[in-house]
Amino acid sequence: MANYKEEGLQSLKKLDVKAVTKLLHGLVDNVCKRGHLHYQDYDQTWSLEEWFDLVEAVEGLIKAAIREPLNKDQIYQRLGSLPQEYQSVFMEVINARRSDIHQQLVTDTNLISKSTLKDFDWQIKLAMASDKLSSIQEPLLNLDLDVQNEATTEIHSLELTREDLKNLISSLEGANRAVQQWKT
Amino acid sequence: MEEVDKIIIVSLRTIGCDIEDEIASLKEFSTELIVSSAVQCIKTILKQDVDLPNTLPGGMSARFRMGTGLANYIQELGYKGEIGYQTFLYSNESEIRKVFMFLVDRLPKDTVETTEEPMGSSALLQRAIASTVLRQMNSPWISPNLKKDSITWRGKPPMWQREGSCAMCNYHASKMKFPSGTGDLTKKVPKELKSYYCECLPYITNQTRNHKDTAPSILEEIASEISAQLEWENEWNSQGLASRLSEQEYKAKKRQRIQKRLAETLRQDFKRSQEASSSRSAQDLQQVLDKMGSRTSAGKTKGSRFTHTEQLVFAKDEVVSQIGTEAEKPHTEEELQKKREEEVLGLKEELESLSSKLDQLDLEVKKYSAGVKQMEEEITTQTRQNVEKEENYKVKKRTLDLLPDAENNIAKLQGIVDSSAQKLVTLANQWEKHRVPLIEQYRELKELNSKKESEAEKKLEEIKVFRQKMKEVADDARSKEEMLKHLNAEYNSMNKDEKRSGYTKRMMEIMSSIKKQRAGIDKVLTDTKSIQKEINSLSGKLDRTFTVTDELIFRDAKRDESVKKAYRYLAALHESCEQLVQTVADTGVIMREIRELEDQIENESKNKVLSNLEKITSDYQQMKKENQSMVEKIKHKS
Repeated sequence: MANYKEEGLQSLKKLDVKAVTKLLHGLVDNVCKRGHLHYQDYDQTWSLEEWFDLVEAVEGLIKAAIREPLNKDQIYQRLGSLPQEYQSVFMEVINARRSDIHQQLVTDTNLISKSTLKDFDWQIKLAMASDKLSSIQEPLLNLDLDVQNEATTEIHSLELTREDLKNLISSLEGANRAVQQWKT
Repeated sequence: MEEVDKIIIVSLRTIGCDIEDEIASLKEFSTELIVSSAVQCIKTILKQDVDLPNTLPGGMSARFRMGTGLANYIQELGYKGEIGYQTFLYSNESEIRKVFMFLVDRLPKDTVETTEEPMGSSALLQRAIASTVLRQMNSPWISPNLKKDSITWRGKPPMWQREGSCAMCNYHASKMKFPSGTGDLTKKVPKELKSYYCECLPYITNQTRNHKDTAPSILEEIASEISAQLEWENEWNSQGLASRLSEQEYKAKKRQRIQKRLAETLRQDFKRSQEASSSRSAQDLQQVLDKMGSRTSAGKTKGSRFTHTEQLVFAKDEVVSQIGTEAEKPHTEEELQKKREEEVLGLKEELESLSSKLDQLDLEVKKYSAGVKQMEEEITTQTRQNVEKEENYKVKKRTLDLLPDAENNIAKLQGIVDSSAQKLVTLANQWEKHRVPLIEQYRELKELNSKKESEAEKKLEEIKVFRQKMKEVADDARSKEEMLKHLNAEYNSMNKDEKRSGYTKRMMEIMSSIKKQRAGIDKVLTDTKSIQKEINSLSGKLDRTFTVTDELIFRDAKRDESVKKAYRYLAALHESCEQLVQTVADTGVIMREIRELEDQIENESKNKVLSNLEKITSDYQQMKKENQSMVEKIKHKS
């Protein structure tokens, strides 16, 4: 286990320092679920297997560095026999992105709780007529709720009339009040 | 005339003439303004650029030429009145009014025509929907891949429109990362962070997975920042200030409180869940046991093949074990039973004896431990007594040592006692000395502190009041701005409204007044007619009576001398009366003439003849000078 990790880290040496900085930031972005690194950009340097090893090793180290948290010497120790400049690059990247990674780890931990509302989108529509009524003129709200349930997001689509919307808003206000009470 | 002027000015403004707000009538128009508005009118009427400058040129001859050109254009448009350069350059109000009335009348209607009467917003919306739907239904279908983002340019008149909903996208926000802490230049950004921001942080437009999410993400980010700021401010105003902590302290305290609460709830929940799980596990066990029991008891109920085989296996096992036991123990059951009972009894007795022994031992242990405690206590009391006795012994030994030389020693002791007493007194004095200023200082400090506290409280109150005021003022400003917007919108809509309905109203008023005037004129006419008739009949009557009396008196005059005289008088009377009537009529005619002349004078005075004459002469002089200078130039050249 430790051995192949070491190997994954050692294969970083195939790139120069600047490219490694970029790669490491990309991997941090990967951890933070923003953007995605593509293997195609690096297929000249590593084989697919090496690439997987590398990604796993680096991401594991990044997470561990913040989670434990590891100090400088411990990180250097984990990096093993990597040359000095690569080690310092590692350190710099971790220091620069400390808050991001921390935030992401907290978010990941939060996922064990019950589903939460992540985002919402709405459209307003005006029903002009139906097959029975020639003139309705009733506004309808299409509400999309992005609900985060563990690691997946589900979209719940609702169609609300004016009264439904009022009910929904009042219940949401009640929830907000509870949260406020909690805070103070 | 004011109405006409207003209408003219408003229409001139709508076509883009720069007329100042103070000008309310044509009388106040300067020559430049007249020329520029006339040129603007001609341009809008002809809908093309005319080779006339918008402003009056400086040179006199150029002015003259421009005036003539303007007059020509207006005559070409079909103006029937008298017009020439003098109309513009040496203006008189009524002529200018006539010209402008003509021009405004000739203006293209759509620029002057105002929009229809304002309606409710819902009606407007419905109308807009109806028109859009109609337009879309009238236009032919176009394949979606011919439109970019389902936006097309068509309809009559052609306009940009959105068709279909295939290009719509969700308003979906994702987290953005952008440099923070760069606003404050005094704080230095760490080097690693700086290099990250400079080299590796992707642009905001590249941060989202879908490019369409960029705008919503930015909006969301900013909105959440603003709402967080607002909430914090609210809280800080309501509770933070009152707690008299600095911001960081307050935040830290709050964080601590929330963490504590979280931990508490978590712990409680954990406990509850543990209890639940333990009870559940107990239940599970019970269920399992029940199941086992039911399986063994209800062995004969029909079951699956699996249970049958299971039963078979079990049965075999039992048989095997029974066989085993029978083989090992050949004794009878009763013997076995007896043996077992005996064994049980023996064991029970042993157990009892052992437990009684254990109890005894326990008791002894307790006794011993109590004894140990007592001993320990005794030891401590003894040691204490020892110490006391030792001390006593020391004192006594000393006194005994001192006894031989008792007097001397007593004196010495006395001295020591005295000196120590004195020392005590001096120390007390010194203490007093130190104490007084210290106490005073303490009191002062206390007072100061209380003052400061009260001041701080006051200031806090003030701050609160100020914040309140600030908020109020901000709210006020906001509401006023809103009102301003609202009023502006209202004003705009009113202006348009007023134009049309106001005009029609005024027109109706003018019509009614004209009707009234006509009725009055008719009345006066009939009056004059009736008076004329009366006069005619009266004069006829007079004529007839005169001829009759004339004849009568003439017949009598041949006979009587006095009648002859009367006849002469009558003739004279008739003649002078006729003369009188004639004079009255003449006076009427003259009066009318006078009135006409007065009117004429007024008109002429309106034409500003004198001032225009002066202007003309001065312009003439200027022209002369220009001519002269030109002649000189030519001479120089030749």
